[in-house]
Amino acid sequence: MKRITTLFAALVATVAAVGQNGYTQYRLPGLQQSSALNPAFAPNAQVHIGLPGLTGTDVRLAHNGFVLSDVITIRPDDSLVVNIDGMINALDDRNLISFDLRTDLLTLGFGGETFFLSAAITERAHFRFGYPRDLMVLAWEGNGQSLLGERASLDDFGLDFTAYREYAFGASVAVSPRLKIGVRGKYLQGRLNAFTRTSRFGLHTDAQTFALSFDGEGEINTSGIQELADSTEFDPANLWRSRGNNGWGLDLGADWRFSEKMSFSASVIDIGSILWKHNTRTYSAERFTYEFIGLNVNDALTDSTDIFETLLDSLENLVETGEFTGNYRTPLNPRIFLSASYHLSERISLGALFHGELYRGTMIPTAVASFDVKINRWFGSTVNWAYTNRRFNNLGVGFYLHGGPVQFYMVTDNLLAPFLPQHATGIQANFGLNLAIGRRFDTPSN
Amino acid sequence: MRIVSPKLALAALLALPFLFGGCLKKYDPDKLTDGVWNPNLAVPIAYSRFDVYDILDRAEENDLVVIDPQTGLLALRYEGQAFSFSASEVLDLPDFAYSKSFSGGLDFGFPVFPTFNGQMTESVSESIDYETENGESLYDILLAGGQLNIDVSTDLQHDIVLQIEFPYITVNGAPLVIDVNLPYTGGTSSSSTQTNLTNAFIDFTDGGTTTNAIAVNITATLDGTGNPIVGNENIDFDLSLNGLSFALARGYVGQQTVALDGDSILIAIFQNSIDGYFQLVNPRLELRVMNSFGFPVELDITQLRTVNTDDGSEFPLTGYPNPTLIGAPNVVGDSVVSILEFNSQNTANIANIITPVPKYLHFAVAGSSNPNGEADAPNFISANSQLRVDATLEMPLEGFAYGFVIRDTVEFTFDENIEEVDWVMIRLYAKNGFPVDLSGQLYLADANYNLIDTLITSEQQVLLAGLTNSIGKVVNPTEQTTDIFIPRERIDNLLDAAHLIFVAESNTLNGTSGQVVGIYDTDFLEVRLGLQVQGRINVSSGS
Repeated sequence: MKRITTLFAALVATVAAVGQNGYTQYRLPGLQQSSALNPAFAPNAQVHIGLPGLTGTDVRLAHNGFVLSDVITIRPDDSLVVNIDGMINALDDRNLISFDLRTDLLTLGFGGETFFLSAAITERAHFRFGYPRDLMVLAWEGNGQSLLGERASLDDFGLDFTAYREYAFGASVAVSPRLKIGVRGKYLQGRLNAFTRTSRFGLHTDAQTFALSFDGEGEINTSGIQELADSTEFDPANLWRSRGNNGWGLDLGADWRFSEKMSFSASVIDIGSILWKHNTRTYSAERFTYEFIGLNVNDALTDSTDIFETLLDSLENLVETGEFTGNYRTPLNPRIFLSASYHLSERISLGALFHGELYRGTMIPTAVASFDVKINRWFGSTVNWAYTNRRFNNLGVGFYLHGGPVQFYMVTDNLLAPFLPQHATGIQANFGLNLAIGRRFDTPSN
Repeated sequence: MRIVSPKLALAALLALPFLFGGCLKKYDPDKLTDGVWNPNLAVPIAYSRFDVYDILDRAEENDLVVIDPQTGLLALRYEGQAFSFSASEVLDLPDFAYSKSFSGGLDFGFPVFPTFNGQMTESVSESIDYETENGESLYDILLAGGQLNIDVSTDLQHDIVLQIEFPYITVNGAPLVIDVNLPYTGGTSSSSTQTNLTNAFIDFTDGGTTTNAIAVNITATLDGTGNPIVGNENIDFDLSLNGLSFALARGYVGQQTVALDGDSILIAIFQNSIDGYFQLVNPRLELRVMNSFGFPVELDITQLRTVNTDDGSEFPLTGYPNPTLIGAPNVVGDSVVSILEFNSQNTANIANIITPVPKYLHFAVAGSSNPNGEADAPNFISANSQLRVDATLEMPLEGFAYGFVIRDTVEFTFDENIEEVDWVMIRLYAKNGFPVDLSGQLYLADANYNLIDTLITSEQQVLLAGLTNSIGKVVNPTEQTTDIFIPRERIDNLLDAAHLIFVAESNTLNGTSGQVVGIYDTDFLEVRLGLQVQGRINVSSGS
């Protein structure tokens, strides 16, 4: 049991070592990688090149539910006690485990202070696993405590996984000495997808009669998963070829130097969708409602029918499931950045940033206060404290360093995670080398 | 102006996590302690909804629940088994014997001869009076069965042939004639005959002049053997009728009285009742009398009472009209039906007929034939004639009751694994559309019926009566939830129990105040049984 608990704690710690959303990177606009978050940003060199394997990989793992310290409590005598109630209390109604992977295969950019063009080929993968708080309550408490008389909502339980290649072409233009705008168009090639289009399930327990009311409907679209599961059909090389799952994307951004002391920037990225055509399968459960009020008295008295067996049989007979093929479209998860900076000096700025990811119609917010230091043209850094994943204990740091044409950078949204895993909600890291060639010029307002 | 050194500020901020990390305690999995898991499950177990139509389906064969089509008011109808006076109880044809020794000289008129070689024929006629059981006057009978036996013997020393004719006994339309040969073989000559009288018709009036008479003509033919006729010889004649049964009899059966023990109607609704007070607004007892005898009958109800066999108490009905003249059909095969109804208008205390929660309604009758004496038209009785009495007790469920106590015991076994159960709660939810309260108690008893637990810790109402309108009809059903909480320390009693004893007391809505309510076809009772179980599962941290 202790081993299991330890494994569980490790899992929680890992999941809780959640990465965030790249907001630290946003505060380093001199990086080519930052321009992926706001196309108005341009690197601080005339030519910017990112090579495969060097330019960096951004890995993010996040969980906005509980952290290890919620579920395992330390007593004064240093003994540990599993505190499932604490874990449940830490959960939101809907909780999300997120994993994002972004690897630039090749990036290229050139231009000047007023005009910069860029192109990039990027492999991206996004994984979202959503689970409702009531699922954990149901498992721990049963339906007879806080859920009695309530609908245990299992809505939005499910996962989304998308892997695709992105071909991006962007331009950043200074439309005035104080304002830059940017735009990036993206052609997308979908590789794998599993998309929980509909997931609405619930269990209501009547407080007076204990009658159980089930409701639900579900639909999951997949592309390439069936093929992946069939080892005789699957050829890994196929993943790197176009599969006819085409999509498009659009990023928009602006960077405005309002005054000597104040500047603002904003961007909306990942607007778009992918149409999935290859090896598609859709699994559905038609909408149903079913109320179980017990066995008929006559049956209960005369039969030895198991009540749960009867319940399951009834549900099985009621729910109509289907599997079929057909094209479907999935949206990207648009993100928005709103940033403001107050420049204490030419080298030091205080910043405020709002980041939101629109996922299934819900904005997942992050608020950041940052302290940005630019020692000289060769070194820039940022330190921030963020509210994200419903917690404040997120310390992010990032810097870049130029050595000749080589630009080294390292960014993380949560520096505390390795030191305080029991309190961490995520971990994120991104580091690599860029080639920055040509005259250095000041980075934009941030 | 330099506000702060950028390098210093950056260094200070980067040092923060290390400071935090050093201050916080570490997690040591080896120090993980045991815990307890208390899941709580609430599930519905059973349900049922009873309405009056379900009650109809559950009614026993002889018990009916009837619904007034106009008002929807329910009535319990209990029917007693039919009983009757059968034809044989009214008219029995007894066996009959007749003997007579006829003198050859005096009765037949044979002259004296020293020797007689010639032939001569002489006759006698006789009217035999058939004796009936109860003095009935028979006009005629069509027999369904029976046998006529004739034994004759003579000491005449000659060959004799007797022709015995019954002019008013006809078979297939012809008079019955029986020939008997008495050849002389020395000494006394004798002979016997048996005649089947099935379908024979007997006219007992001797041509319309009398009753119960059987006429016979005997003709004797002597064929001389050369022996003398001395004048004192006799011809002995024995006649008997045995096993007579009739298909149809006419006559006058007189004023007979036949009493029967009667019958008891089982009032099933009270079979499990112990105590209580009941009063109905309009109960009715109906006796349906069907008479196919060809004579009027005066029906006398000799007993009419309810009986509680538990305590022996009886409740006799009084004031009802008695006796009653039952008419008769005019044609054989017909019947006359008379309905005798006893209700609150003609029976003083019928409203309280079920007050002592009786188990049975007992009644007995006696019937008297021709109460007004003989009429011009003769009585008739066929083999199928009967005076049949069917009794129906109909109790419209309109009235009030209180203190109605019922008790029932059922077998009970419980062998589930309950080690990790902290407590159990059984929840009974009832939505009551009947105007009846019910408070109950459940007892657990062992195999010897010793009480080992009382499940409902405080007696409470399990059902609350529905609220009624001005005619006593429920218009607002009432909901009630009853919880039976069984904590850990009493759960083991479930394992030891062998019987579940249910005792309940029921009242109609404000029954103690005499408020009249009715049970209507729209009434219903919805019952749901739920179970809530709290677990207590120790979770060990040890490997």
